[in-house]
Amino acid sequence: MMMCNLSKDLKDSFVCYLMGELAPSEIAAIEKHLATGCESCRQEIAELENVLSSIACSVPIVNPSDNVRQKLISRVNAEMRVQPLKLVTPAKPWYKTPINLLGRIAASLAILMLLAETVYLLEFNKQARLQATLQEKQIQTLKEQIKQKQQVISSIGTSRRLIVLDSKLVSKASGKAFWDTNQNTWLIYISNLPNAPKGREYQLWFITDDQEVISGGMFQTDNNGCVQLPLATPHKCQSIREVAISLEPEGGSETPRGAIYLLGQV
Amino acid sequence: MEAKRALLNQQVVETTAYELVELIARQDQLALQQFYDRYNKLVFSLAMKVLNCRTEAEEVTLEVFWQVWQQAAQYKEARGSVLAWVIMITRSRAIDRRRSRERNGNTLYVFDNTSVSDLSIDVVDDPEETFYTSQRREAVINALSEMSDKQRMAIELAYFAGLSQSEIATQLQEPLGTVKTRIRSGIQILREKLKRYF
Repeated sequence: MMMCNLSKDLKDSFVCYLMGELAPSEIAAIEKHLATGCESCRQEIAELENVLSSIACSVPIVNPSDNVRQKLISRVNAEMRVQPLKLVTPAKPWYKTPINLLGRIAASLAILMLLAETVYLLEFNKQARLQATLQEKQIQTLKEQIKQKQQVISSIGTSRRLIVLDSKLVSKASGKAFWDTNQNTWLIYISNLPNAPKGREYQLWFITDDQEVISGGMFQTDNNGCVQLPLATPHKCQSIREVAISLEPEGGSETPRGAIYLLGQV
Repeated sequence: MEAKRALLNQQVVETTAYELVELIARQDQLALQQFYDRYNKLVFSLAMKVLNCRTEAEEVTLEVFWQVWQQAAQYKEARGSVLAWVIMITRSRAIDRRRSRERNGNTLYVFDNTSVSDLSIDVVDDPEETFYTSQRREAVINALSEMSDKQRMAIELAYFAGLSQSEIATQLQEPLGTVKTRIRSGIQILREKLKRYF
């Protein structure tokens, strides 16, 4: 138990302290001492307070009017209706909010993942645009091919004859020759014919019933081995029996000398 | 406490003064009304004794219970009883009012010689507390009766009029040391007579 070090003068002033007669400095000294936890002084003051309050019990009892009770209730009700506004501390902006270590790591990982995803999406977008461009080109090519096919189809009529060209040298190579006997024009469509080697060209031949071989012209295939040849029947041709395509030296030959790549019977 | 609050609503139990203060601290209006019903006579009577004016005593009574409503959470049981707390608030407010009034004109404290004999034990509505208070009241009155008039007057001037010991000495035309001794010994007599009530 702690020793009481309060002066005798102040101890004798406890009654004056309770009656509010002491100077502020004396009140402060007593309250400072009580704050140290002196149990004996606390008990002394509590007992003296009870003694003093007992003096109040000696007064003659008088009843207040009922108005006092009603006024108290009204005042409390009024206060309950108008509650004081509670101060709301504004939330700190995100950049002032303290983040613990785990939070910082999690935030860093999230940012890295976001960056990686952004890079991936940009690359994916680039590839998609490239593919779209390629597909557009393919579509354009296919449209061209359709146009050509439509031309071929449109050239097929009652007055036209179809000659199928086959190859014994290149299995995939093939050709179709449409001969408009009325107009005396030809439309020859060739596919999968290998590109002619350097210094060589393909040469078209018409072979008549008289075994006469007449040159129809020189041509090269495109990268896909295809070519479309619209042409008129050579004047010399009276009756055509076969159509052939051979590989000849650049500039052509008088008669077929190279290998026959395609041949079709009329 | 919730169960106590529910019972309080039904008014089927007597709530202790401390429990009432706890409920008031939680803004329980019903508890405040019960607290008022229990202590209003004592508070008003004390204010009347100090102020000797019914209007002012009623104003002080209202202020006391309003203070209880607002400061119930600050009440500490270890510091003293609820009764002592309410009496301390009442005396303090009544004396402040009296001093304020006296700034405009010197009002001497009026001794009421009938106060000792004008007994009424119906101070509070709580039967247990009424019994306790009435017993203590009787003891106080007996103790005051045993004192000399000058000693009783010194204590009453200090307690009910809020005069300092120097002011009492002036009013009673006695040396300050004598007044101090009378008050100290008077309090000691009260303490001895009321010992069994604390």
